[in-house]
Amino acid sequence: MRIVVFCCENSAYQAARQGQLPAEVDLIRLPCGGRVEVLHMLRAFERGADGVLVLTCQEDNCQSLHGSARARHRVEYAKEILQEIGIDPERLQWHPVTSNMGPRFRKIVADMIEGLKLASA
Amino acid sequence: MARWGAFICDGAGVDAASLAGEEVVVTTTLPSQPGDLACKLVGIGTRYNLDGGILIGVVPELVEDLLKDSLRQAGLDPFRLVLVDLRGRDAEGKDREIKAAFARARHLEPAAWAKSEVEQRALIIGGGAAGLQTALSLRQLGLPVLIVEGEQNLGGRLGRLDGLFPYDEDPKGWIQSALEALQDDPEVEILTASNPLALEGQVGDFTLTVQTPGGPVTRRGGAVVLALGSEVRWPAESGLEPGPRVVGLSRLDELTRFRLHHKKVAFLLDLDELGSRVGTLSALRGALRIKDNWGSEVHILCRHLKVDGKPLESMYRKARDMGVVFFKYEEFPKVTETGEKVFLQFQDPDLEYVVVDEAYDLLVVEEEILPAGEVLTEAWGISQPANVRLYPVETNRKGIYMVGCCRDEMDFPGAIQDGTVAAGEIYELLGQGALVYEEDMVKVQTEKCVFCLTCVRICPHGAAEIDLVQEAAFINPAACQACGMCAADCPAQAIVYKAYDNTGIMAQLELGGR
Repeated sequence: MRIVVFCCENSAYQAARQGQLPAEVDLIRLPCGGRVEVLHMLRAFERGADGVLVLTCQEDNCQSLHGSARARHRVEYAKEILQEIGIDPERLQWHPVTSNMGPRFRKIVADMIEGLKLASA
Repeated sequence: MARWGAFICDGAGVDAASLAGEEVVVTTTLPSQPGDLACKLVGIGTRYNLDGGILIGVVPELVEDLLKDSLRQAGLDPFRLVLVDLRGRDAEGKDREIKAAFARARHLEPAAWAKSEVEQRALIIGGGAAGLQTALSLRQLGLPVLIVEGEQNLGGRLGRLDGLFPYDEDPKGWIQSALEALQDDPEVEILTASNPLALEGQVGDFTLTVQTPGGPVTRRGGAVVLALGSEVRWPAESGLEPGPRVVGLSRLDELTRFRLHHKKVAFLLDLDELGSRVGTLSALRGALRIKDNWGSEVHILCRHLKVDGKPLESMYRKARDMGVVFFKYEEFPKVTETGEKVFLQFQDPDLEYVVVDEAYDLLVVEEEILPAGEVLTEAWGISQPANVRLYPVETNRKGIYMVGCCRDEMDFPGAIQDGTVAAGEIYELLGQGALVYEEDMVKVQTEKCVFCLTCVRICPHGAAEIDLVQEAAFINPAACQACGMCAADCPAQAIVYKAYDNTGIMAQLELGGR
């Protein structure tokens, strides 16, 4: 199983480093959630990801003001595309995570892994 | 071909032999102490004439800036240092992180550094407490300033106050001493009765056009400080009308100056749900003053008393000791007015909702305090939201700061602190006389740009500009804060963000599933 996590370096990327990460996770570091493109998310699925997470700052704490909101909008759009091409949109998720939310980061990842295991069972 | 070095921190638990397949010219183990690490990186990078390095180990974010600074100072390219943080990874995870880092590194282009001279002057708009303090602090740091003030005299709202109780500061004395320090200084220009018309340019080189009594003038400066103050607004939606028996809190000073005498006075606070700390402070100050001057009976009505600031709690206690009575209300009190008296009827939850019915000679109402100059900040695309990453005085635009009541309601010490902080930040920005930045870090490929100006619209930092000659957008490298939002949103894929370009991101995805 492979889970690609697009992380804002100001928040989720730091949260990711606060505990043991499951081997399934590949982190992609971004300067801001606003850098992530629909193309990146779809390419991740194309290259064998079972799940994709976009984890950015809380919306009112984004260094680029609306970078986090834009990431969320793009994830919503990409979910529609997934639906159309027959991939469960729940395989792609956006969550806000601050830099001190290590446990939350691991919970989001664990929940996704569990969801994927259930889906494939 | 690029020459890369691989640096493995001791304690990373990575075997140098495992990197055998990668294209590196030197592999070495380094101490993980930040200082030693920086020295060794620079030393080896220079000796082997490396184009870049992969640093593998336990590298906290905080160390990253230090390392990149050291590299830049030594003439090496910090953007070609790829950090691989292995905290929390097992053997397989480590292997994949390292592979992904090499995949990304292969696509990194070298950075080109540029340096441009800056105007060292700060353009301060607003000559109230916060603006004046910014000017005073900047002069202490040796930078020239321009102060633009709309009124005839400097001082702003501070100049209309009698005292700043509970602080000892005398407002008029403070303004006077600020003026003495500034007015004969050749590096200080003061334009009064003048208003800003237009602001152009970017950090390091702004041009401000000012309407003065003698006509418009332009001034250049490297930084802009907005010290626009606040506006006081009567809370009309409460249904209350100002009159001889009902006055705003901001008018209390002029009222208590006279030998008028009101036997019984009420303060009505928190007209909007939240109310403000400054309102509570002014009411406590007014109540104490009325007690002192008139010896009246004083009641203060509020939803929640805000005593979470330094002088507030002690003032509250003092007011209680002096006999001021505090009431709480949930439903807005019923106010009726005759020529002689104002009647308030309300229920206090702490008094078991018993109906309190009192007649007063004077009702003092808390007004709304709104930031001034919102028309200006909106027109110039400047915002200072309550965002921890910009807190307290930075704005979305580099080199533009907001201080004092135009960013948040505050009392005198708050405004002074803002001015000092802003001056420090400006000194850090302009003190060296030049800005150093990476050229073409985020670049518009003019041949691909269809001039749709999406980037100009969405850039949160106001760094995307219109280049009419090229008929293309242009990302100003000095103002760009490298978020990459424009690169992600460009419909023509014409914008390349070198450090995080699509090739690099895709290369990491190419590792495939397991």
